[in-house]
Amino acid sequence: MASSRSMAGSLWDQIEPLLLRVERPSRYLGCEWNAPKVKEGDFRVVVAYPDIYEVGVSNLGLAIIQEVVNLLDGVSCERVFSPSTDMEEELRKEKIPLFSLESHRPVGSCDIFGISIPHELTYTNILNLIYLANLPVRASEREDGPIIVGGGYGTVNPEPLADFFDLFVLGEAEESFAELVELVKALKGKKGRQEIIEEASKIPGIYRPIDFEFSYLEDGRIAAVRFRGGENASLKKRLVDLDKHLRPSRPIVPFCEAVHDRLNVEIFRGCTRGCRFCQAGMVYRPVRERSAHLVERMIQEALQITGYDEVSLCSLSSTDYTEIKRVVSDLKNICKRMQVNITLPSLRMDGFSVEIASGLNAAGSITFAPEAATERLRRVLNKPIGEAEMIEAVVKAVRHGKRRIKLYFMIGLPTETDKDVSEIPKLIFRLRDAIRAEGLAPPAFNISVSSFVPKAHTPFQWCAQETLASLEGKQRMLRSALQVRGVNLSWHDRYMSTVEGLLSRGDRRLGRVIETAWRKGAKFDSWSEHFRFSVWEESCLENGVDIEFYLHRERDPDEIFPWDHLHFGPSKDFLFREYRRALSSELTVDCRFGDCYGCGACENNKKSHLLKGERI
Amino acid sequence: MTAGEALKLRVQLSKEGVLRYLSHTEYWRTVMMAAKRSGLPLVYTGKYRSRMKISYSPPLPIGFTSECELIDFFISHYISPAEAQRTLQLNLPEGITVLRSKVIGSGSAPVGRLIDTALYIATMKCGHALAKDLVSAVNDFLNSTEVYVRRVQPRSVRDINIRGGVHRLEVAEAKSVKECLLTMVVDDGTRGTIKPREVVDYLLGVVKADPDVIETVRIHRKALFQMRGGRLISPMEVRARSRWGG
Ligand code: SF4
Repeated sequence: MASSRSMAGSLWDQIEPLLLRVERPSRYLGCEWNAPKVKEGDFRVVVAYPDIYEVGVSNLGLAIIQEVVNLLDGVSCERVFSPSTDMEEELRKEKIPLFSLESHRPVGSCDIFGISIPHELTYTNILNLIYLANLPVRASEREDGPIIVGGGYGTVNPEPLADFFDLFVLGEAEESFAELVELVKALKGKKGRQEIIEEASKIPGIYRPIDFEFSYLEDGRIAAVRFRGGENASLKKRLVDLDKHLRPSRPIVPFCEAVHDRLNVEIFRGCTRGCRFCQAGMVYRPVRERSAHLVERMIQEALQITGYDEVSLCSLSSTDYTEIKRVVSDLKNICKRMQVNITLPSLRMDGFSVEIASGLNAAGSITFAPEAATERLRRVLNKPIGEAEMIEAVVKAVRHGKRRIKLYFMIGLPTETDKDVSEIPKLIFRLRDAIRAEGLAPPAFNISVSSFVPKAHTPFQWCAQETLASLEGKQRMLRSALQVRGVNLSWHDRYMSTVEGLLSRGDRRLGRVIETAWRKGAKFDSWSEHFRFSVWEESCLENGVDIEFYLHRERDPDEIFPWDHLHFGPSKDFLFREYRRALSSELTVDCRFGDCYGCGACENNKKSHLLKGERI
Repeated sequence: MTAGEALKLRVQLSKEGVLRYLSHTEYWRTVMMAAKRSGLPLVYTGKYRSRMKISYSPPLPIGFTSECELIDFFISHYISPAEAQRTLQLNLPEGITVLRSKVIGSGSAPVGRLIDTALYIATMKCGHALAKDLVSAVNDFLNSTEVYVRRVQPRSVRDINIRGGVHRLEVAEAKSVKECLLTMVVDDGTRGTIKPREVVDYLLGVVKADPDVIETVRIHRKALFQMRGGRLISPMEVRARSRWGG
């Protein structure tokens, strides 16, 4: 610890006097338990998460990548998070550049600056990170300095950020980012920056945005996407086998309470339930489970070296894990001995899931996501939970001692009518009545309603997003119907959903909008206290961007999308087929246990899920 | 609760180096997670969620160092204090040192309900003239029956008489290093809390110290006590009397 602070180039002596002027100085200390030691003279990689420490330090992806890179010979990988606004002010005032947590050296002096792109409302923070590192925000203006690489979930449609990044890592980055680091390290000092970037772009799964050129029709739609040179085979997301990557094996333990303040261990990636609104369910296919004995080993080892009192089994739908019963029953004994609680996030709304989850912790709350209140609309979404199943789930949950039930709904869904929305309160009342009919005291219902945002690489990528006025009307209706004791209603800000929608299906022309908004002071857009919709409206206006065009327009079947050249698994044909099936409320069954319907995610459509147990 | 469950492992720790920037909650969370890693025979409580049963000393403000952070871990059976100290130290980050440890039997109050007084030492860069002024400011302070400081908080501004909570106050000059040492014994814990920074700022205000002097102030918590009949008793050595006692 002491050595990295006294390392050549460390800014610690300038940073330390600022610490008592800012809220929560521990955000900027580094030196947490299990934080890696960095070596002076190593090839230097800095990985960033564009939000404050407490949010970023909880991110599993960043933790995995940091550990993977630190295993490479002669490479040190450090972290940086967005400084909070008070610290940013101090840094600007004192002219101190963005610094890494492990050695407090300037981020701008590293060799590779990897930035995680978690979601659309962090885009301005990404620009801010590059700027605070004293680097030009536009890739075209960077002649030297680190190669800036974007990765993570947001690369599903990275086009609005194309102007700011040198490269993107598509899909799961454990292997491709490590290959990129090795290559850049090998070429450092031997080739020029641009040549190195070009070489790196040939690694499968690495995307160099300047290799592609877009042309537009007069009405604003994309006319063509042209690859600037020859054949490019690398624009396919990469996937990994979780049994080969048991990471993070030494999770960093923050001093402060992080947003996910527990040990997070992945049990599987991918999901083929086929919910048509769900981007993650489409782009992480096929399903790859981690073997039960490895999950258990990882958890036991990590609990011992972290001291957490809670472990979460992470995935897109925990109880779909074929070995869930075995893992839960084994862990129950281990965790009881170690005084550790187990949590299962992302539960299906059925009796089986409730049985499993309730066996773990008796009381507290339980969360389900029915998404829509009518059976018809749930069929459109391909999330066909029957009302009988819902009732069974909530009754069982209350019987197991749950005193709070949290339900997630969306409004503004494709084909949604006012009736679908007005059914939300009615459904809640029916659930409550069913609980009463069993002689049980009804729990508190926390209802969270978000506005649907159509996403790239999903069957709903052709849909129009609902207008603000229409969403407002629906919210008003819900508010008046749900003013009852025992029901708490919360919203996702519909203006935030508008910006999210604009950027999620945006193209390169939105780069200027993001930059203008950031220059006008937009940052921390997912934080209600910082988000200002007017800045985004002004920025669109100034750059001649019509929000309507991106948000409220139903796309033609054959329209070229900005992300069409990036392959994340399901083919466009399949997605369109699914869109049509949605419109006629037809269901598509999970291919994990049924037949392959040729979505395109598996090589040659040869079913390649890695399941470790039998269907439950 | 059986007699065994009432055993407490009382540990005295330091807070130093960069870890002085941890908040009270962050510091104790770090210590508790270290205790969990170290495999001590800890006792847990809680109906829905198990929580470590502990009791700790009054909060130390961010930026202060200390050599007397105290925590009682409730333990299920006896463990040699030396062994507990060794294993706990292996699991603590640099900046937190286990200074002493002791197993306390049933019947004694947990540390959080015991402590009411603290000894702080504030150091600051200062020349001879300022040191002399500080000596007279301290004398005036001690000769007054009321000393008011203004406490500005997000939702309130209050004038508070701190005099009654300051039991001893001394100033010494370390000429060789051009420093002043201000030693104070103040209320800290069950009887209420005097903020040492407020005492220092008050005195520096009286002597009209320059901002560069104020910048150099460092505060260290040297000891915590229980005041019994005017005597200061250390929670680690219940029978010992401090030089500040009586
Ligand atoms: S290719 Fe077939 S098996 Fe693979 S995810 Fe798609 S539908 Fe399922």
